[in-house]
Amino acid sequence: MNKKLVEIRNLSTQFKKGANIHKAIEGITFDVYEGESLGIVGESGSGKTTLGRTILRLLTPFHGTIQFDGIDLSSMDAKQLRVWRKDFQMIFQNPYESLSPRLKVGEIIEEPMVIQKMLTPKERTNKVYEMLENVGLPKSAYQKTIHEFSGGQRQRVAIARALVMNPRLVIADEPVSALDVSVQAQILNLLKELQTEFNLTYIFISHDLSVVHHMSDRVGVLNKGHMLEIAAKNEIYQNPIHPYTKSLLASIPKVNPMMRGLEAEPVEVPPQPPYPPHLIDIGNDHYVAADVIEIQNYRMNKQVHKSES
Amino acid sequence: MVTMLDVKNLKVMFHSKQAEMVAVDEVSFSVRAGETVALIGESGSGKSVTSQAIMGLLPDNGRIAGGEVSFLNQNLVKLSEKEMRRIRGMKISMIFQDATVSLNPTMKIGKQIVEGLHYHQLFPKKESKGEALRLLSIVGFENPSDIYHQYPGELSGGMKQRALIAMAISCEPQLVIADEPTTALDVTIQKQILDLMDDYKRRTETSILLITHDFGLVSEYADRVLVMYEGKIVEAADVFTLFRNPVHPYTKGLMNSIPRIEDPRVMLQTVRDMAVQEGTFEGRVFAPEVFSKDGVTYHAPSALIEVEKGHFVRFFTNKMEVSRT
Repeated sequence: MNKKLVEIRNLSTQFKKGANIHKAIEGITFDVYEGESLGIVGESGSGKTTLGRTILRLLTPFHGTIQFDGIDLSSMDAKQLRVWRKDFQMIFQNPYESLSPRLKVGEIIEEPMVIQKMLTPKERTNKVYEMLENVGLPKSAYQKTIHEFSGGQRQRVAIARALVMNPRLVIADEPVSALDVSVQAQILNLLKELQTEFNLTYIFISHDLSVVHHMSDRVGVLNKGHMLEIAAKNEIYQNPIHPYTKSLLASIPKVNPMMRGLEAEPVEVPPQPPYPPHLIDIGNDHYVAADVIEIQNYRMNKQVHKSES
Repeated sequence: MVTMLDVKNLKVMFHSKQAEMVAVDEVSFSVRAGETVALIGESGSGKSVTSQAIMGLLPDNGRIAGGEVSFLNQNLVKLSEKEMRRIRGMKISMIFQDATVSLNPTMKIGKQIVEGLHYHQLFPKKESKGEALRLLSIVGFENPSDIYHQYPGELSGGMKQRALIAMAISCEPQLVIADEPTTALDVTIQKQILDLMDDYKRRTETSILLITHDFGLVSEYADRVLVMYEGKIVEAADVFTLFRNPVHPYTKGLMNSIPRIEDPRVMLQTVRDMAVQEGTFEGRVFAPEVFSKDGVTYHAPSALIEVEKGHFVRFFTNKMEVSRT
């Protein structure tokens, strides 16, 4: 396996709301390997967006560490972080909100380089044209403003801006949820092409299990601020252990009417304990917050499958 | 089976200061009692406009420019707003995507349901509270009397959507139009809500017109499917036929653009790829009906053609009209 690019240990982020403390994420631990695509699935309120933003230090963690290529980002202040910012970028769900409506598209893509004082103005312009080509936009896009574009094209601009600094880690937070399915397919294909071309590492955050499956090498399941299970894609989709993971997978609509009525039994999800779980390594690079019986069942099923085949 | 809704040749126009544009054209379909018909398409396909036209809820700059909407043999297009109000909510009800805007934030859930019952004078006042509680338990609330006294703001998205369904079925409508009813919800809640609607439909023979962009929902819940593209139905069939044998390149493109878990493809096929691949239709698969080449304008009329029993596909007909400009 490749080397670890990101090591998250025991990460927690809290929000204060009056006298109340809301623990958005708590006790999150996982690694991201260089060149891989790690999917994070979760429903609304699971803390998936907070997790992404904390890793990129757009939020300050309450507890825990974020090691990026061996350097601890969790305790850095804004000034120290600035040096590292170019190495990790984010793509948001709604590019209309995350991109300035006043600037020209060329300026939007150039801006990160200006802030980092990279290259000469002429080199920067050339770099912008290069990025426009990489994301499949015409050169004429340079002079336009963002509102002249459709949702899919806007997301292409956002991707160009994120990639112009040659980042090593890209966190995409629901990058295709606002798009029509046919446009969604184009953007997903583009993200995959660019990953190979620029050797990018992705953390791909989404509520859509099919999209995460398509985009990821490994997948982590987040619920109510806790990471419940994390494993290689095929392992987790075929052998889910945590009841919550099972219930999520059982809820995906099947795109085949012949499979109606073949649904798995509904899964009873026990209430989540208030403290973050300790993930147990059950081998096969599969980590899960499960009790002994669930793990025994899983192992027995595996044995049965083995002896059958 | 009784035909509940029969839409014939519906045409809807929208006007702006400069011009009038056609949003929906040549749309014909019917919904029978107890049937779920799905209208699937992407944004701008005209699927929501079609549903608004049926309900007489088009925005001010839209109008029905032609066609008929018959509901149990009564042409709704000809009705006055007052007559329409008696049908809306009572015989046909609607569930929208965003429950937050459909519910009154200043009124308790129970009161909102009771109000609907009173408006259509279905229950004596004394009994309406009991009926509201019954409806809330039908839609899966374990503690209907608590929900009855809560404001919409106190409920989660899924709970609000369930309260909205309780209101939608309160007058025992014969047709429910559900416009992206679960798009804003989590997958686990989405399944609960749609199973609930499906179960209700089976028990009561209610018809459902499901408007969605999601082929997954169509394959799980629809009996028949209409695929809309640029204001027109481009393919129509029962759900099994459509998934077994999609014919129109747009339908195929849409189906191939969805990532599926059982599917090992690295790259998805987009609608655009499909259009290029199927260029055999003289390259005019997604072309407008009117197109110019070398200063000559061609009109290529299109029509829905039955390719197998009950399976209709829109093709450009061979008959071409040429007009010089």
